[in-house]
Amino acid sequence: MNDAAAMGGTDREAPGRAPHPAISVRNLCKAYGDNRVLDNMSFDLERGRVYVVMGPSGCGKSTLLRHMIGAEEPDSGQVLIDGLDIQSANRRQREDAKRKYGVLFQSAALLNGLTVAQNVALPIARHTDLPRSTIDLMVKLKLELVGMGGAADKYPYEISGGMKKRAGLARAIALDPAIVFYDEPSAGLDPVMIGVIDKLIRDLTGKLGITSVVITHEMPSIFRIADEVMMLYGGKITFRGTPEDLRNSTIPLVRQFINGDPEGPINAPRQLADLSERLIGASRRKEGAGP
Amino acid sequence: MADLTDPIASLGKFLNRQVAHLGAAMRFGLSAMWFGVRGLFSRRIYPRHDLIVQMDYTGARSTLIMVLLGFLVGASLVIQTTPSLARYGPAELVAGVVGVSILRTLGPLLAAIIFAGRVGAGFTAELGTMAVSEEITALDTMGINPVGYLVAPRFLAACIMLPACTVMFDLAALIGGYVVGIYQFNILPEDWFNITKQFVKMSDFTFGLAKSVVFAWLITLVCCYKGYHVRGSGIEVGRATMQAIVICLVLIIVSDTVMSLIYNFLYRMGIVS
Repeated sequence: MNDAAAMGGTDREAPGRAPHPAISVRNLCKAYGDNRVLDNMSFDLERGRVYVVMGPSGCGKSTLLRHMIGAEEPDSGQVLIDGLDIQSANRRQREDAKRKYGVLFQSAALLNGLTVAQNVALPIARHTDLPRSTIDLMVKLKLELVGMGGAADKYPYEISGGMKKRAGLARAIALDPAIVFYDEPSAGLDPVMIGVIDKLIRDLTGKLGITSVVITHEMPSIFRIADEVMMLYGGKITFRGTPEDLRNSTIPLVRQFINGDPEGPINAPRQLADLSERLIGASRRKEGAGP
Repeated sequence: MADLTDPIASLGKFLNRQVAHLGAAMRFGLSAMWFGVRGLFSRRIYPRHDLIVQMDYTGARSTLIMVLLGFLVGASLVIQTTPSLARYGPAELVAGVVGVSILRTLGPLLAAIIFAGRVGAGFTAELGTMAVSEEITALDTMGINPVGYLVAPRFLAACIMLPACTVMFDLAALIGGYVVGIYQFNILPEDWFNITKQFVKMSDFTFGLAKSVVFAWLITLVCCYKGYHVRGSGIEVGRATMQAIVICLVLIIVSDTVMSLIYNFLYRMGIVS
């Protein structure tokens, strides 16, 4: 457990380093009715590293992501992208901030009316005055980078889930952003394709110096790609550390999560375990009542 | 005491929500219109090609159904009205009745209802599907205004094409009425044209056309707003589409009545002829 770091302790400034962390989250709070999803959350994410945010379903991972990409307004607190508070910034500042990051959505979120190449070209055409030929070249390069050069003219409904993810990634990095957010990049993919996506995430960070924030609960992926892992539970960060720290953690929540144990402090599986016991009990009673 | 105040508090909350929705919808509509007009001069709002595609979808592809239903409505109106008129006077008067009722009310109203069912439902379903599959959020995170990119071309196309569809519907209905009047009730063509000229004024046509612009605005606003704000799963898309169409039908008929009352008032004041 590295609680001090979790609460913003990694914000160090050294000579020659960028003045701001890539992302700063300050006292972020969000509630839906009585359900406090993000409870005064604070942390900093440094540049050029892969951060994995994990936690059980419904713990607020996606809500945190939606706040970091500016898709949702917090009840209180701030999200700073490269030092800029994206909620209080004016329209032009927000648009500039949005050029600094790309997002790979869980469903890839490609526009179905456009081909893969047109999807990747969309942010480039919108934010630059480059001639068509240059945009086409950039699109080709990005698609080659994710191994999708052969599917440029296909529509999203003509390609597989893994190809959609890679096309979505090509679109996310179209403007060479400093940060890429990944929302459950391995959801719905086979193990080989998960490996391909994991390798792409590592390569992008290693070769291009991109800061990656990955929302996932795929344990093999976490150990493959993460420089640092944060675990969310009950609206708070309950763990922050390296994959090695995670593996050696003695925190019951973390142990239960990484072992996939149905018994433990995480309460959702408890309800499912109760349900399964009730079903088994009912089935046995039925067998006993048989002829 | 709590029993008495609870329903009042609930009513207050409900009204508060509805007013907030109304305000948000008006901002949404004005913003879509603003982006629609700006997009004509700047290629960064939405691709021009999208406007053409939407005009084709909303207008050109509605031609057949507008013409067919218009023709049948005109024919049916003559079939049902002529025998009654013939009992009290010359049957030729049906030409004037059909002309005025089609151009002033039935044409714009029925064209708008058909348009809401065909085009409006499509808008809600398309935008709703895009909303639940995170395409709208994706556009926003790319720094592309989704209202400008997705809603504005639909808004502009509908505001241009519903009046065009109304003209088609009017023409088809007048032709339908004429054909039945001439061939079924043996009214002379010269009589038909003379009666029509006596009864129908240019203002009947322009008033109907003005109404169709208002209907286009209402249909697009309701359908795009409902689709854009769908949250959750695919089932919500169907629900939003159904709600959008019901709201559209109510608003079309209410606004038609209000506009007719206003016109009547202006007519009595001598402001319009």
